[in-house]
Amino acid sequence: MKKIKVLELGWEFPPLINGGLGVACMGISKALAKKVDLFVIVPKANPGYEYDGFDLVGINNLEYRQVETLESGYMYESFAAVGKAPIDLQPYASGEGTPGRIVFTREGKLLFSKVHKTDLELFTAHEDLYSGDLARKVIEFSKICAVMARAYEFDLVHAHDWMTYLAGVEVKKATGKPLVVHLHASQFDRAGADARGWIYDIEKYGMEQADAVIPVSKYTGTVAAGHYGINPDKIFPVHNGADPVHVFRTKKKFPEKLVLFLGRLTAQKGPEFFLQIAAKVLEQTQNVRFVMAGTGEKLRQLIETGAFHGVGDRFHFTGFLDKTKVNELLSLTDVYCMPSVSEPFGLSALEAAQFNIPAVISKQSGVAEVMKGALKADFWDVDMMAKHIVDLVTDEKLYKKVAEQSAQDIKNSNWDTAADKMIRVYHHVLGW
Amino acid sequence: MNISLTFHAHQPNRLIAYDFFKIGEHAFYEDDNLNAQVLSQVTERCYLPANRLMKQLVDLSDGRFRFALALSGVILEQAQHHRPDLITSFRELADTGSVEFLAMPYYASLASLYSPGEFAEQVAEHADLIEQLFDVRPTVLWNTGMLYSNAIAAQAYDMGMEGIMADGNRQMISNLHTNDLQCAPLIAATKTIVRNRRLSNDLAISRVDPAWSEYPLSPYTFADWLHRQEGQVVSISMDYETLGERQSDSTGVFEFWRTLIPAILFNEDVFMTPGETVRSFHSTGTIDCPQPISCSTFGTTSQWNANVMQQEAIKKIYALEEQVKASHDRDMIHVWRKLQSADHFHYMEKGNGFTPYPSPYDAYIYYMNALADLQVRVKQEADMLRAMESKNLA
Repeated sequence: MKKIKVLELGWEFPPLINGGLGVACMGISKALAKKVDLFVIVPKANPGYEYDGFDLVGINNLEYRQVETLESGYMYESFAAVGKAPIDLQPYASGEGTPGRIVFTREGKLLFSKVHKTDLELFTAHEDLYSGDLARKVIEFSKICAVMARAYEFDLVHAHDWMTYLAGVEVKKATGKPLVVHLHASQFDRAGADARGWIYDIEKYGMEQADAVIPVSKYTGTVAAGHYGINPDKIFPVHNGADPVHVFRTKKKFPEKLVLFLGRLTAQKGPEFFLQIAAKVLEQTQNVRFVMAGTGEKLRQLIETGAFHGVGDRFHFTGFLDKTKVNELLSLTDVYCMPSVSEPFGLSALEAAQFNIPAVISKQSGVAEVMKGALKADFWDVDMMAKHIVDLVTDEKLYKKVAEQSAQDIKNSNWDTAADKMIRVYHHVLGW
Repeated sequence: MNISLTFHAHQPNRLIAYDFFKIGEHAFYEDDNLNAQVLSQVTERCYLPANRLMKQLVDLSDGRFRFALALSGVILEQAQHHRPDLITSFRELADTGSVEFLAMPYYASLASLYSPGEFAEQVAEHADLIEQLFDVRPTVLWNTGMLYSNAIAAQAYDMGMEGIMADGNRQMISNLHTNDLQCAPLIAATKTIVRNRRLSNDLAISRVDPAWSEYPLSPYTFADWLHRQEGQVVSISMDYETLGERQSDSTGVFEFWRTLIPAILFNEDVFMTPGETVRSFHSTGTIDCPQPISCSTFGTTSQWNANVMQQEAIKKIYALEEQVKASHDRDMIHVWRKLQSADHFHYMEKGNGFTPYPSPYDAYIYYMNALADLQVRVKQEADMLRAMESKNLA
């Protein structure tokens, strides 16, 4: 069978940016590249960096005259369906800020000017990709992707998360090629069921315009169908994989069992629930310590809440940790706890499982579908979560059983399996 | 007029950035380099020149200039390790016979509020150290931050103290006659010396404040103010660090004091140490102070125990008392006591700019991690003792 040529649009990408989305995109790209012809466009890339099996271009490395040449004779399609004015957006902040610089016609259509030299500087600056005028970055990225796409030969375009959805739609309009959008995390996960605004609109628009939607779990698929009204017939959940890690154990320097929370300290991850769970566990057994690793807007409030619960000597905050420190921490951990309010997937639970750590996870997570052995509870059910943890730290038999089942569960959680499923989606879309 | 002058000196044991990964592994919590460095700096800028000045003034006045020093055990311990010359310098002052050393809880702790037994032990430990270094045993108590209440006065009485210092804060104690000796309810043998808060703060704070109506203050003016005071004794007290550290040499602080003391003597006012005061006068009345007061800005204990982090840290350090003491491990008890210093809790106060940490949250996290490490060690030792005992029984 003919090899499919895929144009992939990403936002974060290692080694320059190592967020969760970037890591997933890297895993997907490496696995896909073994079976398809793959070309990736991202806003920022290290010019000297070579990837195994696929080409990657960063807009930050484009010369203005290249864009000018590509752009000649092209009229940008409007994104008029995106109802509300684009704004200075921060995907992980709750409020959405000040108006941007996009012009509306009297009929309410958005007008896009040609790419300007200063627009390219959006991607060469040192500024974080998510800060500053994010709306403008998203739009300029879309425009440049569209004109670049016209110069390539490919069969379909695959876009990752809302930042690249507009680009995906614009490429589809410019080239007529089918669009697959990947949903790693939605605004519903980040901001809750009442999340509305430009990001939500773009997500909805992107998924509507797409020929197929790939959520990272069935759970996220139900969010796409339920909260975004996307036709379930074109939703094809594909679970994330996990890159194999170097697994090691370190002997703890203290006698108590260690229960770990790892993640951004934002409402989405349920850190307050973890505190409540810790307080409940400590009521039942003293033989345990808790660590909350990560940072975020809720850190200070959480520190005070921990003090208020009287668990300050058993509940430790580490702040931000790099990968080495995270692995060191995993090597000490006895139980992993992920009480996320809404977790599209939850890769960290898989990583913990690779370290043979049993997990207690919320039912509102994608990874719960993969980790059949993990102990689960609704995120708000702190009593049940606490019971699971107490059971694990007091019942060695159960502990062993859960750890063994986790090892089974993660066997199929690799990116090659995920890539095979994505290719099946490509075939479905292309009708091959 | 009689004047009683007391300087208080203390340096905190600041902690290192003690993160989670150190728990169970790193048994030393203090930033020894930083603490030594700060001590050295303050010794050069303040303690040594101030001691020299005070000794000169004592010598020149043939001992008519007399005053008291309240030195925490912590600063003396730091000095023994890092600046023995500072001990020598204090020793020289002691040898003049014109300087009285006051009793303190060794660790500048809040034990008077949280553990009366521990409080008594720390005051005794401090008295032993003072006696060892300066050959005198203190008889007047200067509690951490001048903490005072009916209950604390009663504890001072139990310890056999002749006097206890309290801050003369009219907002906290309504029936106050600042310049007279007082007593706590039903405590007659231990007299309460009330600091003249206004006059003390004039020297410690206002003197360098250009917005103050009396700025710049002349030492002669201040000596006249003292002369015109009424009552048994004016008690003036402040941090020793006022001389050369809080108020740098360039503010003329040393010159000010060099002039002030002779000016007071010229007015034929009389210096008395706190001990001499309590032995010379009867108390004139009873002050009722059911709530603890301190010499802080608000007069309360809020700088140490108002927010949940402070409360949690205090609760957990004192909860260890029984287990730590059961170990009979002197080093461990010492480490535990050093973690009781009030500074640790003050660093957790929001809005406190006088801190070595990036934020009160960091102060709390490092402290709690260090405390967790101590918990682990205490438990290990207890387990070991239990194992040995069961072996002996067998």
